[in-house]
Amino acid sequence: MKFADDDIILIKNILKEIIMYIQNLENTINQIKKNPKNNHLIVKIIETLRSIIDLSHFINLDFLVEIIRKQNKHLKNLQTIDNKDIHILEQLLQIIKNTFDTISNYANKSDMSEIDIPLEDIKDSKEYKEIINYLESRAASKEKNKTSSFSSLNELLEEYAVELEDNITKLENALLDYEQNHNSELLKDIMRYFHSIKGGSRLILSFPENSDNISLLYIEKISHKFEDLVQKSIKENIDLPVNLLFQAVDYLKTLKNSFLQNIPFDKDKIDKFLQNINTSKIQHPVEKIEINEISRPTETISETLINLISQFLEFLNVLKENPELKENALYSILPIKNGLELLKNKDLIEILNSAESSIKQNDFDQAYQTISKLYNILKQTDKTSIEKTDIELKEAEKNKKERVLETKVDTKTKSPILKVNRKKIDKLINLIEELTTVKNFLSYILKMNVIQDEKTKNNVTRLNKIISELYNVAISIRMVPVGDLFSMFRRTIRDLSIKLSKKVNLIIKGSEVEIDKNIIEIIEDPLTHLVRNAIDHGIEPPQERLKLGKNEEGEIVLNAYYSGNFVNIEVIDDGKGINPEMVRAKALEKNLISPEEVMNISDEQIINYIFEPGFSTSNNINEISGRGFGLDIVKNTIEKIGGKIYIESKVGKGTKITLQLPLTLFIVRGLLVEIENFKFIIPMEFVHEIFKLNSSKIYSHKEIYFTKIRNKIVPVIFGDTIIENFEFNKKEYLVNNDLINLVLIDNVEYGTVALVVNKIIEENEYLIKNIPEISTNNNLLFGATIIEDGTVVPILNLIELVI
Amino acid sequence: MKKILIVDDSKMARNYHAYVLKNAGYRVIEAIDGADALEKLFSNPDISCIITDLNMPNMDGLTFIKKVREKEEFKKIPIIIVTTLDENYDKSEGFKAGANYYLIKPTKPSALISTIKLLLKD
Ligand SMILES: [Mg+2]
Repeated sequence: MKFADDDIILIKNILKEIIMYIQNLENTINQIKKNPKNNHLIVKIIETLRSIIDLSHFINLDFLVEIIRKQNKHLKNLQTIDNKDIHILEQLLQIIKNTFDTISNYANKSDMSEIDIPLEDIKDSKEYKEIINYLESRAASKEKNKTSSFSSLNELLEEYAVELEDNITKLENALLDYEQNHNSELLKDIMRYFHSIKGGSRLILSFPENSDNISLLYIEKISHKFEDLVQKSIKENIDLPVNLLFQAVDYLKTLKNSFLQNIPFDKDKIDKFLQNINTSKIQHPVEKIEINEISRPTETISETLINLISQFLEFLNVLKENPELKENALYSILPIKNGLELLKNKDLIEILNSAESSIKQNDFDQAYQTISKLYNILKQTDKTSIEKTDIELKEAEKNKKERVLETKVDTKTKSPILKVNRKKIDKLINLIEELTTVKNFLSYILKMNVIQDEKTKNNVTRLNKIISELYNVAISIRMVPVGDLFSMFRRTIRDLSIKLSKKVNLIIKGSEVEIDKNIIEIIEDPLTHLVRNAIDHGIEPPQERLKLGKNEEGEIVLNAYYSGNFVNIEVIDDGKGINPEMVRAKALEKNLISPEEVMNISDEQIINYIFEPGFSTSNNINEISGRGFGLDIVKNTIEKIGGKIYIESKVGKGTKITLQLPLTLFIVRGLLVEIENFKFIIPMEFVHEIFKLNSSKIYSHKEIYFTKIRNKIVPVIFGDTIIENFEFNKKEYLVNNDLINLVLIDNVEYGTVALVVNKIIEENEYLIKNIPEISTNNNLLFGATIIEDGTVVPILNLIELVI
Repeated sequence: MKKILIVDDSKMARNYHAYVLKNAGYRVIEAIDGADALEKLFSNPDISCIITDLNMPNMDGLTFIKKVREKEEFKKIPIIIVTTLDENYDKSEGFKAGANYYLIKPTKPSALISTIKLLLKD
């Protein structure tokens, strides 16, 4: 491998340092040979190896990092070390030595970055592979003893829910595509989505726990019927009844929600709907699967054998017409032979052998007859004797299993897109968010220089770094492309334009732009409202558009793009635009603006009044965009998450509404308190306890206040500790108030501290926002939030609290 | 420890089959469609059995089976089709493509394991 110039500067230092670690490792290995049960030595080896990982990591010695990590993972689970482990360790030591020796041979050459250092030889060596194989097999056998992640029906249900949702979305999109372009590939896709929904539902239904779930039964029914319907259209080459299929999709959506949230649905309506679909009425019985059967399937060799033979008869029928399958037919005989051998029935094996030679001689009819004979004999064989064989087989199986010691790791499929259950992600992110508060604590400890031990300090620094990285990754998991949301509007626009007899073409741009899932959820309704508005009030009817010299088909553009720390989402239509004079008149009529103001305000500014509460409530309510969801609520919703809304419009040309949205949302659980006239939020992680205390129990000594709580002296602090340049008379406060509200706060340096607050308002979840006017250099600020009444409230970061 | 290739576009189905097989002591390699499966098969020549779904995007099961059988080294590998029971599905198509046997979804764990055991002579 070649090293980058940056690495070469590091290499010399690393080579110096590594000598010590290698020496350490060698010594410890020698010690542990004499003391294989000394756990302390194992820990020492792990630590030394970890330091070697760190150094190797710096210069991208990935193969070395990999092997040492595996070694460490293995060591961590060991109580004592056996000879094999020592052998592996010694080989690993040799590999480490070889690697750095090889590098140091080149380290003094001036043109080092030009040289291809032969480290691959080490990676490809027999020894390297031996270690990796050994460690992997040990890791796998440990893995085997753990319960797999798929441990319950619930897990299967979660996967079903994710897949169902995914299939319904894809189905709807394929239908929308098909409507525009009757493409046979799309037909196949549509059929497949129904097929997948059906298959998944059947699996879930086969567990007795769900077998009578009515929503599931209907999901299966609809998808089954419609798969057949699409199949029929393909076979008979007729167009799909698109509207019927859209209805089916809607029912599937309803049923999905009813299944997930356990809410009832209108069964009669669906029954009526399905009556009109004339496809197969065959109900397929679903075999029951007991959940514990999954992990401990009963062996049913004889039953399976009969099934295989009956399938082989089908095969032979096909073979008669397709003699080129002969070779494969002979392979298909093997499992039957295996089964008969297990039954130890020589006569039956004879029969099979004769069938085999018939096939070899191309006498397929004879083979069919012989196998039929075999099938009948087996079917009629005394059941009990077969069952007995089954039991014997099970015993033999058990013994065999015990002999198998090694297992290997399973390979996971790597698909670029991972569909994950949302609850799991949210939980993960919550945990990581909790971790970041630990991280803050660690940063603080580091800053206070309380850790003396260098090693601990290094590890804490390291931990800190890892938490930061973890947090960034976690946040990125929550980011999803906005395209999924955008394409949802295809259906909205289709349905609405049909209803309003308008022609609308949707153009989607910037689908790949990513934004926090939580934000997507919040903006779904406002965006729907804006899109509906654009069709309803913006786009003109086709004839009118033609008269105006516009394209008959109106255009709605949904566009997303990054802009600094924001994502902008635009809803653009090429409709009639907003007439500023109308807005002026209405704003005046509704007393939203004074007569003088209305004269001075520009056209650009006045149209912003459509977002004012009370502007669009009166004559505009209709089924389409009324819905009790005015533009003021759109604006409100966007601003609540720290976003902004802008509008531009030209009469006759169209309107563009821009949502400026933050990339992520951060939520903190906190206690809303009032100190004097200021409101603050104390994150719950600092809140130890809430306390009420008689003011006489608060003592002072030279301006220092304290109290006793459960016989412990606790410092008492007031608002002035938190609010800068804030003076107030503590003595007077204590005299005027009999009962004092205290929030006990955990503090690293002082232990528990009691903060005096005037009022405890509530505990709630608050959105952390970057509000520019409040982000001062005050250490005690975490950020701020806007509470219900619109007040901006600081969120306190009490880690840095200094009394 | 024998390796089994599971081909299915449904993650739920893959996980379900993988779980059953792993519990019975097999190693499992998963593929999300026929094309993916071919790649996995070529890079894992020690796979001893293939279990494949039919209805899949990109490359469906029958095409996948045909492609496998085209290769001399995979003429003998046992292939089981795992598919939902359909009046539209013609079983002879599977045999013609080169499958040895089929199982009906939802697959009974006992049927799956017993079939594999007979196929692999375990
Ligand atoms: Mg499928």
